[in-house]
Amino acid sequence: MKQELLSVGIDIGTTTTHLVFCMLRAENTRSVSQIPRQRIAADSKILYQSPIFFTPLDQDGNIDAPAVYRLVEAEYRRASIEPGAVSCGAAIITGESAARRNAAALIAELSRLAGDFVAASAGAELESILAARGSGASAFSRRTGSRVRNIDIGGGTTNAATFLSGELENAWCLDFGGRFIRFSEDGIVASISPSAQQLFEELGLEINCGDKPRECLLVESANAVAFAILDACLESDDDQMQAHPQYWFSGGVAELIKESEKNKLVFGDMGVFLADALHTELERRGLSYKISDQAIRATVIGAGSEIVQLSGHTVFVDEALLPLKNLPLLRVPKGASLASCLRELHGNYVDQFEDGPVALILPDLPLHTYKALCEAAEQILGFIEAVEPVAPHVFVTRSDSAMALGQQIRKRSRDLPLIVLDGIDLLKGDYLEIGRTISGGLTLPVIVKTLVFPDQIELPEVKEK
Amino acid sequence: MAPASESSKYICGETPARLHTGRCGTRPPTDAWLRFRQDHAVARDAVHSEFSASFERDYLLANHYPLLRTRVADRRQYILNPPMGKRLSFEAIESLSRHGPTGVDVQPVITDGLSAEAVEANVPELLPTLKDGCELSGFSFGKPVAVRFGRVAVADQIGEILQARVVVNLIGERPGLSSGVGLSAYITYNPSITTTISSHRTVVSNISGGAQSGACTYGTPPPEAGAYITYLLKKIFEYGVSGVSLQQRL
Repeated sequence: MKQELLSVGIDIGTTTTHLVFCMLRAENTRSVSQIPRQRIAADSKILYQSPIFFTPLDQDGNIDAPAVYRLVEAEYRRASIEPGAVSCGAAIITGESAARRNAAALIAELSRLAGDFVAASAGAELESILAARGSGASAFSRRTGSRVRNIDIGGGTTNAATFLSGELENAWCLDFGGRFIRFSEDGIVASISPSAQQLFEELGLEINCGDKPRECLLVESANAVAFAILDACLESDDDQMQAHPQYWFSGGVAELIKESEKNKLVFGDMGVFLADALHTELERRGLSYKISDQAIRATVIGAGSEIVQLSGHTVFVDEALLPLKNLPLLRVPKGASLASCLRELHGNYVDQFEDGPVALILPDLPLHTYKALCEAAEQILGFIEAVEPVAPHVFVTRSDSAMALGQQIRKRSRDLPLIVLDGIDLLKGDYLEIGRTISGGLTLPVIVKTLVFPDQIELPEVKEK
Repeated sequence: MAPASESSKYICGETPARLHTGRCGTRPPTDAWLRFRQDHAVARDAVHSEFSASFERDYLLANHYPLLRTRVADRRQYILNPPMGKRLSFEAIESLSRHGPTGVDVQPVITDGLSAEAVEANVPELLPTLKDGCELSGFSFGKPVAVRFGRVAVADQIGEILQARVVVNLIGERPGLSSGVGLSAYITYNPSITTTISSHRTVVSNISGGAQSGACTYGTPPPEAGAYITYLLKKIFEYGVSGVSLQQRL
């Protein structure tokens, strides 16, 4: 029985691209006489970290997809890892890269190259959460029971997430990062991000494309951006009631706060200036803060080691249906009868039901009695027969009742392709992916993710063999 | 008393144990002490509880489940002399022998054990999913037999008389200070009064939250436990063992 999972994290960022391989271990957290509860152990090992590459771009500023594929394939070879051996993980596209025109197609194709059950993902909120998990901020919060905010400053965006006792409180994203100005090789301004442009106009800073600005002007612009970031991410001192959380910093710019560069324009952007400005301002405010030991790799480690969760130990599953990818997650509203709630949901999301299989999150039903269980099974089956949604039928229960509910549905309909899960933390994800079973077929690796591309390019169909 | 910090709130949420109750001088505060006394009384009552008349009539009798006695005469003797609860009375052996041997794959046994309340709350919700699961898996399922004043090992004798391949003894757990209504399932392959020992049994404990037992959020709900026991039965028949030997193969 397989208790270890080889996982990959691939991060295509605004400025840099890198990947990491982790070995995750499933451990039982209950005593021998109880139904096991598998969790990913906290001691996942990082097997291999790639160097940090610049994200390859073509002449139009889009991501050079073939170059990215070559880069990833080369790293798999260097780590001596076959894509077939990778059992889970995520390829995520972060920061401004997600807004590039070919982003959606690229990331879907990449996740297919990377392994059988590697999720393609994007979305500012998820990125914030993964960065906080990968930096160690959320684990620290859990261990100490404290409130910790992780601020991940990358090339294109700043992603913040706050955890209390290890539980997510909030997550958000700002359009500011170290690449708010990009320089050509001779130090001439090649582009300015729209958010920085707007800020400069408000402050009357004269920096335009084609200029070669003096250093003091660059310092001033970096100060402006640093203020914007800190104002948005730090609790204001006016609020006397709320104590400051502990601030952790991660991301490429945080790496530069730790070790400043002499050559300010070495990366062809404002990263070094911004790091210096943040450093100065943080010291001036006298706030204590921590730079994560895994600063630049926080997001990719989060993608490799923290995106996968394990379901409850008693699930109901047709093994032949796995793995399943990109199932839209729909939440069944709570109401007087399950049947009418299912119908209402179907009315609201007809398109999703017609496009392909969906995963339905059942409301919190009291399924602790046989009678209630049978009623739920009959109503679900009635709904399936009336609506005929695309198979397989995937249900997620909030209470510990997946196996019993699946059994009752199966009893009434022997050949229905069916999966019933419980014990997963649904966070705020929009899509569900399910990998192959572990622990003798009773536990499933599950990824709850978001897929947000600003220009709403449709993902190409990912057909399973 | 409210936990002092966010971290203690988190820890208290993870366990029903009595943490962060506070103190008053060298003693617990009055409310914590009263709660302790109350829970202790619930546990003591559970140990002395017997099948209620309504359970015997409306559940056991209504379903035609025979109610057998062990060699114990009353609850007091049951508590003081555990070995007597492990063997059936002579009348019970005789009446059971008239029904058997049945040679079923799975023989369910319902035993009061140390908490008849736990049995009343959870068994009616667990048995149907266990039966459905056995039918779906193609295992023959014997008619449940109930035992008054019984212990875990009494099922070995029932299994032996009926020549069942596996017995599943659903028995009330020794009550603790956090729950008086926990049920366990002891599952034994090839049960026998001469050869079966404790390490031959596979156990699923902490089944609670059935119909009348109120909110206990830490146990496994009985219908889910019934479905899970079905999975264990498949493995037991696959490997031909139960207990520690099965544990080593899972």
